[in-house]
Amino acid sequence: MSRFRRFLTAAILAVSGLAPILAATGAEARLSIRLGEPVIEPMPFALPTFVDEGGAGNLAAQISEVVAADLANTGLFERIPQNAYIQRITSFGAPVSYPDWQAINAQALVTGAVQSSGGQVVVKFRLHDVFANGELGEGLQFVGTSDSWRRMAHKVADAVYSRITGESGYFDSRVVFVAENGPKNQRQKRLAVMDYDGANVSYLTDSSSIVLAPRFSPTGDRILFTSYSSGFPQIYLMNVGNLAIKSLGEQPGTMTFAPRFSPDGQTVVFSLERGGNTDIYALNANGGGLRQLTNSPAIETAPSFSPDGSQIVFESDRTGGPQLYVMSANGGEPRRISSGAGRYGTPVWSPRGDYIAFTKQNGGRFHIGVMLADGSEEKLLTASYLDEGPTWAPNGRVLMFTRQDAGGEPALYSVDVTGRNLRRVPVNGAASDPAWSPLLP
Amino acid sequence: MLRSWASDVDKSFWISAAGHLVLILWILFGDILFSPPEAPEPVSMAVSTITPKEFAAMETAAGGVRAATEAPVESPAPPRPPERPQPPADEPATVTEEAPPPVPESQPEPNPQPAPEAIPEADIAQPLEVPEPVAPPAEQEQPVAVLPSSVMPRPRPAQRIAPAPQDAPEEDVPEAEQVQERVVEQAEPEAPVVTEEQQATAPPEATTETVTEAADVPQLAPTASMRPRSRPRQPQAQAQAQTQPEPPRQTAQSENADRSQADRQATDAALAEAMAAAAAQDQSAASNAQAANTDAPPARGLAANGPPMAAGEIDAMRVAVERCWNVAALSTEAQRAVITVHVTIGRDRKPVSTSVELARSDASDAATRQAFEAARRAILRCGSGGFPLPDEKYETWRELELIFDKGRVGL
Repeated sequence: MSRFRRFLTAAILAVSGLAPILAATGAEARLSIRLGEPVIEPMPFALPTFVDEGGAGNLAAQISEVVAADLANTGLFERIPQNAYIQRITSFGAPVSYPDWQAINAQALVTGAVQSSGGQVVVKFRLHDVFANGELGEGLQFVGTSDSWRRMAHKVADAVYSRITGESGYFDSRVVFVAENGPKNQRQKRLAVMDYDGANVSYLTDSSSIVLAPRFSPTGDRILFTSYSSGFPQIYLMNVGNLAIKSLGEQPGTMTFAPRFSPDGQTVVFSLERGGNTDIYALNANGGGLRQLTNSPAIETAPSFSPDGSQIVFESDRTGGPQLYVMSANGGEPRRISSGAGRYGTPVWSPRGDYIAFTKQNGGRFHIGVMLADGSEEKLLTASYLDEGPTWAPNGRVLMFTRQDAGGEPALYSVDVTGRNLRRVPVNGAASDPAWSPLLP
Repeated sequence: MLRSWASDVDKSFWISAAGHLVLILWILFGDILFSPPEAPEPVSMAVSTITPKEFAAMETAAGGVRAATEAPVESPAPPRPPERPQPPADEPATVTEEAPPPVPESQPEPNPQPAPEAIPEADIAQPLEVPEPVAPPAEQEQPVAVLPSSVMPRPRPAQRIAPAPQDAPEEDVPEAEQVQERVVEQAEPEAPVVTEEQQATAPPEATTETVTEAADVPQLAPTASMRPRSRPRQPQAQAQAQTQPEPPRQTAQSENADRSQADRQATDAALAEAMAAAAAQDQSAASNAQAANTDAPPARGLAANGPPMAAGEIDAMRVAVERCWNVAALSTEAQRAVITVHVTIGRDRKPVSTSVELARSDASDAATRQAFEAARRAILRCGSGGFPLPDEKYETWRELELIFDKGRVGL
């Protein structure tokens, strides 16, 4: 009987033991832990000076510095000083000793090389995930002329930024703005363009007339702006390639201002004042097909298309103070989206379509803020004596705007859409009304 | 006739008697001849106890002998190089790198009008040539082992000094032959003391967080209280098995008398014990499978392979990973992604770098990749010095499932 008992017990255990084994084949037994409170701090990265592979001279160091500055200016990355590096990168093809970079807590490593000959520059780079002991993506190289070395540096930075963040970059872009100089009673204003970081400033117009509110076309080859050259504000279209300027939508006895392109570049929306009433109009980019989109005794201005071109957000005081409204791109009954206290103006739809940036005046202070397209989740990013006129970076992650302190000169500032990394754009002289271009080809 | 009947009865009697005798003999001695040997009876022995001090003394005395008899320890093998093939350095790039957007063939040449003061030379951005992939670098043997604690995250640079100054150090006093008291210039007692009206002041506030300049002042008072944590569930079947009455011990004297009854009870007890153990294993496996297949947070400390982890132990592990989980550089979508990562932890409490793998994600491929890379960096970076895990529960935390779920906080 004792044999039978042992046999019976063993058989039952053997058979019953199969059940959990079979169940465990579908899901391994693991201790599960949920994490929900990450840290938000700049990611340390290392970027040794790119290797000179012939003829680059000082260009290798210059390109390296621009790439590092691009990344650091985002506030998302922090460059580790080069004197802390253990491994010296003397050859682009040399193997990387990841422990040496782990030891200095570099989480990303950018290595590169520059070669120049006959006015042609080749820049190549690799991005390494230090703690994963491998590359992030494959290496890339860019070829251009020696005059465009800053653009190549921005391209490298864009690629690095995109691989780490998963978003497209914005470094290889330009900003058109109004450069100001002279006393306030004889202010001279000119259109100017610069790299996004304030470098390579060049002027597009002279100072014979006041210019305002320039806006890039979606392809970056044209600029809309408002000029007082005729004595009244009128909108004009400039061809950036040859600086040719032509009037747009000129209507006798009217004032036109606040123009902006549609996402396809075929339509221009703007404000038109006629008989003391301001409404929003649209016309074709070639100047024909004028049509009225709003018809209200209120002042309605600052229209901006949604990225898909189906809607327009604008500013109107039809309910008293200036508020933000959204309507169809073909007009129709608008719906109000701003609901907080204060005055809202200059709305701009994000290129990603999620947020609308705006200027808000409340309690004697000006703010740059963002809200979702339905008006919810309003968030104020800045606060100062005068902040106004936001413009989105091509990736919808950063905003640039005009800030002026009491008694001071206007200047350009940028801020992350989260409200972090507020910094002044280094531009010589006073500047206002920035408008970001799309990413350059 | 009668004699023949008597002789027949006598023959059958003897045959029957012989048969019964064989049966009786088999009953009496058959079990001894053919049954297997019985298990030896348990022998009870008296034991004596020793004090911890005596035991320590014994250990100390035996230590030298044991150390002298141990085999020499072999040095560990050098780290194996990664198994990735090493491409030739001069091989042309054959990688399939993402091609950059197409570049227009030509761009109109600037033809500036004579009006502006300064004519831009290259206001139109000239497209660069199409980026070309670069040949991968030569591989170098990379040690698999992660780094010591020197790579732990550095503290954030403080932007403000402490609001209260430190106590001043004691004043240095020059040596002299005679001890003298310090002479301090004092104000004349007759001098009127003028006290200007002074408003109350306070030291500058110190903070641990960077606040944007917008007037969004967060509410300091809590707006909600934390839900009490649920207790870890005990395996019910196991508990039931523990409450099952143990089979009665049989003594050697009574075993023969109650043998059949004892066998039945022992069989029933073994059957119940086996079924309870199987049920407990089934429930444990099912709960793990459910936790793996749902997004609901699993019970804390409940693991199938070992003793349950205490809440404090799990929190310590969670915090250890979170302090290296940096999402600042991630896209908004990647920050919102909820990803589940599986990782194997070695007995040295360090993560096995090659075991970090993505199990699940609710985001797009691009966002998942960024979120997973950030999670992997967090595990490898903060695990380089070993996670704070109890050694005795190795089987419990050997295989970990980490769910990175930031939610929409801070977006």
